[in-house]
Amino acid sequence: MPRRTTELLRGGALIVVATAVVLFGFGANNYQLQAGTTLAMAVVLCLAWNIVGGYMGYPSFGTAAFFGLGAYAGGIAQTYGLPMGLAWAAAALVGAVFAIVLGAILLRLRGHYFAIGTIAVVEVMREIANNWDALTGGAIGLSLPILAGSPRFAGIFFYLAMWALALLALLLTVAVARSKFGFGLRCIRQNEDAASMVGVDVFKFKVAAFVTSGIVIALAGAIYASMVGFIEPKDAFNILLSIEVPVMVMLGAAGTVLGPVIGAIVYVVLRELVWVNFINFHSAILGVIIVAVIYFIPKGLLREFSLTRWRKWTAPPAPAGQG
Amino acid sequence: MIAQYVANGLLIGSLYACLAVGFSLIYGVLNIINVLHGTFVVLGAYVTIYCAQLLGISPLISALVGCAVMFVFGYLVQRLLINEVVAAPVFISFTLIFGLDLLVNNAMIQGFTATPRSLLVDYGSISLFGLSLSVARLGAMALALVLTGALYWLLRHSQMGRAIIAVRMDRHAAALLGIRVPRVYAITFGIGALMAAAAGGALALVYPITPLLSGVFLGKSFVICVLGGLGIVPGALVGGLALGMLESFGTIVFGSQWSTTVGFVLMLLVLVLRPTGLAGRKGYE
Amino acid sequence: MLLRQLLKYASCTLALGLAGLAGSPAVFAADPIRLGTPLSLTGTLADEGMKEQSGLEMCVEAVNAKGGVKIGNEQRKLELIKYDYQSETSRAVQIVQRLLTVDKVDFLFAPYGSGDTKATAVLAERYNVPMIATSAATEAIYHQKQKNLFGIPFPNRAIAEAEVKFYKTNVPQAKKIAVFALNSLFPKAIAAEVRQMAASEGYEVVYDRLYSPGTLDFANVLTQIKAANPDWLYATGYIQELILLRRQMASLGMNLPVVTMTAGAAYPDFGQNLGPLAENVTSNAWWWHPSATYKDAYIFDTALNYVEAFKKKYNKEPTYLEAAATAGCEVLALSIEQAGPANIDAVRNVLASGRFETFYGPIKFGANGQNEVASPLLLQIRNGKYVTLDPKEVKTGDLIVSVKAQ
Repeated sequence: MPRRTTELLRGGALIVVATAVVLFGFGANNYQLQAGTTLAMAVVLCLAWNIVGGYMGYPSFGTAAFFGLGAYAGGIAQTYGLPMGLAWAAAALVGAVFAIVLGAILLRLRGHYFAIGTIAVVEVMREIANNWDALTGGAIGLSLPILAGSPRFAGIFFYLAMWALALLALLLTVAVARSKFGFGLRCIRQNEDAASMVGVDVFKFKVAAFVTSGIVIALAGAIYASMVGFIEPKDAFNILLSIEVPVMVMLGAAGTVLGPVIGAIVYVVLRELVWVNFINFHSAILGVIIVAVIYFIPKGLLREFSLTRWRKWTAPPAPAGQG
Repeated sequence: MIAQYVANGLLIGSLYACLAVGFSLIYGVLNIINVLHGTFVVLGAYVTIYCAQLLGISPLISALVGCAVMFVFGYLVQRLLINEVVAAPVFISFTLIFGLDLLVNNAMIQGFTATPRSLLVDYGSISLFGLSLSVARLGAMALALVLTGALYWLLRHSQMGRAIIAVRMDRHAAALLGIRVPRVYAITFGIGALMAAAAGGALALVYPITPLLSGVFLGKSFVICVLGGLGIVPGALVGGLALGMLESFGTIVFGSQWSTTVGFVLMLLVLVLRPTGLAGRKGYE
Repeated sequence: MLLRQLLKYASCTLALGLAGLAGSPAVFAADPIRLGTPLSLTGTLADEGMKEQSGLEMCVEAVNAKGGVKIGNEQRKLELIKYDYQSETSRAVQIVQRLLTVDKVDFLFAPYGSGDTKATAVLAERYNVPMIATSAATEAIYHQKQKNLFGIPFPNRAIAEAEVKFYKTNVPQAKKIAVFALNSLFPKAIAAEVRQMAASEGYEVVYDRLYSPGTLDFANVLTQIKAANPDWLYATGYIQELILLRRQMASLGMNLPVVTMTAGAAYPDFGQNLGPLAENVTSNAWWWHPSATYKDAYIFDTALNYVEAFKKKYNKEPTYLEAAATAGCEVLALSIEQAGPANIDAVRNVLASGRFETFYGPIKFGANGQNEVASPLLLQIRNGKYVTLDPKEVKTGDLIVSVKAQ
C-alpha cells in the first residue's frame, strides 16, 4: 500500500479509537472510569519507559522514582495553593531537572550496573520522602485538595486527563521512532561504542531520552496524586511499579510504537481478572504470568504474532535442490 | 562508648556478610541478579526453625538440613527454569526470577502466614573488655569467615571450582573442553542457595522470621555486594562489614531513621565512582 | 500492516472488554446485607489483614447463626464482600470504589491502619455510605468532620494519659523517660502523645528518636539509650521490630525498671517469639483484653466466651485487632436492628447517637466519629500471660518493676 494511504488509515484509526475512548468515558460508571484511568496510566508509563528501555536498550528500573517525584512535586505544589494545571506543569519541570541531574550521573553505567543504580535511586527517594517530614509529610503522607464537584465529574475529568497524556505519549513515541533521534537511540542500543564512532552524540542522546521519559512519567504521577487525593512514600515510590512496567512493555514488544500499548492493555486486563477471582493467590499467578511471558513470548506479542511471521509459517517449503 | 559502637558495627556487619555471600557468588559466576536470594534466606530460616521446634533437633543440625534442602531447591530451579535465560540480557533474567519470587513468596505467606516465628534459643552475650557482645552474632562472624573461606577453597582448590571459574571466563571454551556447562551453572546456583540457607539459619537466631523479610534481605544484599564488589570472593565480606560500620555510624550521626538511606546513597556513590566496589576487580580471578 | 489497523481495533475492543468484565460481576443487593470489606491479605500488612478477616468472620457467623439481623419482621443475614488490596493504598482506594459502584454494598469496613483508612474515608463520604474503622486510632484522621466514618478504637491520647498517670503514681522514683518510635502514622503519633504528656508531668525526656521500617539493627541506638540511663523506655512499632529491640536490649545487658512497648507487644506472638525475655515488659492492651469483664447481650456474652469461640474456630488466641473487628461488625448489626426497616440514614443516626455494650467494652461514637469511651487497659507480660494492671475495675495484678537482661 502506498505510504500516504497507510498514514491516512493510521491517522483515521487513531481518531476512531480516541473517539471510542472518550465516548466510553461519558457512558461508564465510576468504577469503570477508574479502571479505565488505571489502564491509561499503564499505557503512559509503558510508552515513556519504552523510550529509555525499548529504543535505547537501557534497563531502567527507575520508573517509580520519577512517578513518585511527579506525585510529590504536584502534590506539594497544590498544598501550597497552586492550581492543579500549574502544579502538573511544575511536576513536569521537576521531572525534567531531575532527569538531567540523574542522567548525568547514572547514564555512564551500563547493563547490570545501570539497572541496580536505578533501583537504588527509587529506594533513596522513598526514604527521603519518608523522613523529610517538613516537606512531604513523612510517613503520614500528603493530603491533596480534592477537586470540587461530584465523584462522577472528578472521575471523568481524570479519565480524560490521563488518556490525553496517553495520546501525547503515543504521538511523542511516533515522533521519536521516526526521527533521527530515534535512529540514534536504536544505534546506541545495538552498539554504543560504534554509535559514538559514527558520530552519534551518545551522551546528549541518552540524557535527552531520559528527560523525555522522565517528564511523561512525572506528569502521570502528578495526575495520579491529584486523582487519589492522598499519597504516601511507600505508595508513590513503589518498586513493584518499576518492575511491572518493563514487563508490560516486554509483553507487547519493546522498541516498537504499539508494543507498549498492547502490553499494557493485556497485562492490566489479566491483572484485574486474576485479582478479582483469586484473592489468595493473585501474586503467585501474576508471577506465573511473568514467567510464561518470558518463556513463550520473549520478543513480545507484536513481534511474535506479526504478519510477516505468519507468512513465513504458512509459506510452502522451498523446492528441493536449493539447500 | 566508641569501642562499643565499632563492635556493634562489626557484629551486624558479619551478619550482613553472611547474608550476601550467596548473592555475590551467583552474580559473579552466572552474571544474573538473583532476586530469589531473599526468599532463599527466609526459606532456609524457616526450615531451621521448623526442624528445631517440631523435631527438636539442635539449631546447628537444623541449619545444615536447611542448607541441604535449599541446595536441592536451588539446583532444580536453575536447571529447570533459569538455565534458559542465563545468557539473556539482565532485564530478562531479572524479571523472570522476579516472577518466580512472587510465586514462592505468595506460597510462603499462605503456608507459613505472616506471623513472626523465632528460634527460642538464647546464647546470651559475653562481656569482653567492657563491651557487650552477643554470642549469636559472634557466631555469625565466624560463619561469615567460614563461608568466605569455604568459597575460596572451593574455587581455587577443587575440580568443581575450577570448572566454575572456567565457565565464568568463557562459557563456550569451557563447553569445548568438555565441561557440562548447564550442570556447572545449576551446581553454582545450588551452592548460592545453600549459602543463603546458612545465612538464614544464623539469622533465625537473631530475627523473628516472616516471609516479608525476604525483600529487606534482598535489598541489603544488593547494597552489600555493590559496596564490596560484585563477583569477587571477599566482596560480600568487605561489603558486609563496610555496610555494618556505615549504618552504625549513620545512626549516631544522622539518627536511626536515616541509617538505611545512608546505605543506599553510598551504594549509588560507589556504583558511579567505583563500580567494581571497594574491594577491587570484577570477576572471579 | 493491515494487522496494525486490526490490532488498534482489537485493543479498543479489549478496553471495552475490560469494562464489560468490570461490569459483569455486579450483583444487585438481594436478601443479605452486603458489607464491603477491603482486606490486606498479602504484602506488608498481611498479618494484620488476616486478623481483621478472622474478627469480621467471627461476628458474621455469630449473627447469622442467630438467623441474621432482625429488621422489623424479617431477618437478613450478613455477607462480607471481600477483596485483597495487597497492602497498597492505591489499591485500597480502587477496591472501595469497586465495592461502592459495582458491588453496590450497603456498608463498608475500612482497610487496616490509619493511613489507608484516611484515604478511603474520602470515598465513603462522597458516596454517603457509613464506614466502620476497626483499626485506626489516630485522631488526625477523624478531624475531617466526616459523618460517615466511625472508629472503634478510641483516641491515642487516652492511652498516653492513662499510661503516664499510672506509671507516675506507681513508680514515683522514675524520673527519666526514653522514647523510641517507628516512623509510621500510628506508632509515631502515639509516641508523640506519650512524650508530650510525660514532659508535662515532670519527666525528663532523655532520648527521643525515630526509626524506619525494615531496620535490622538497634545496637547503637540502644547503646546510646543505655548511656542516657532512663528509668522508663517507651518504644513503639510493630511486632517484628519490637521483638528485635527487646532481644538486643538483652544482649547489651540493659536492665531497666519499666519497659513499655506499643503496639506489637500486645499480641501473644510477641511473648511466643521472645520466651523468657518478654517477662515484665508492659504494654497497653490497647483497648480490649480477654481478662476484662465486659458483658454483651447480643453475641458472645462475655469476653472470655469470645476467646473460647475464637480459639475453637482458629486454633489460636485473638488479639485486640480481631476483637475490634468483631466489635465493629457487631455495632453495625446492632445499629441496623435498632434503625428498623432498612434505611441507611436511620442506621447512620443510630450509629452516631447510640451507646453499645459489647464484649469489647462500651462503644459510643463522638461528634467526630471516633469512639469516645476510652477504656485503655494497661498490661504486663508475666510467665507468658498478660496481667491487667489498670483500670482498677478489671485489674488482675500489680506492676512488677524490673525488666532484666537475662
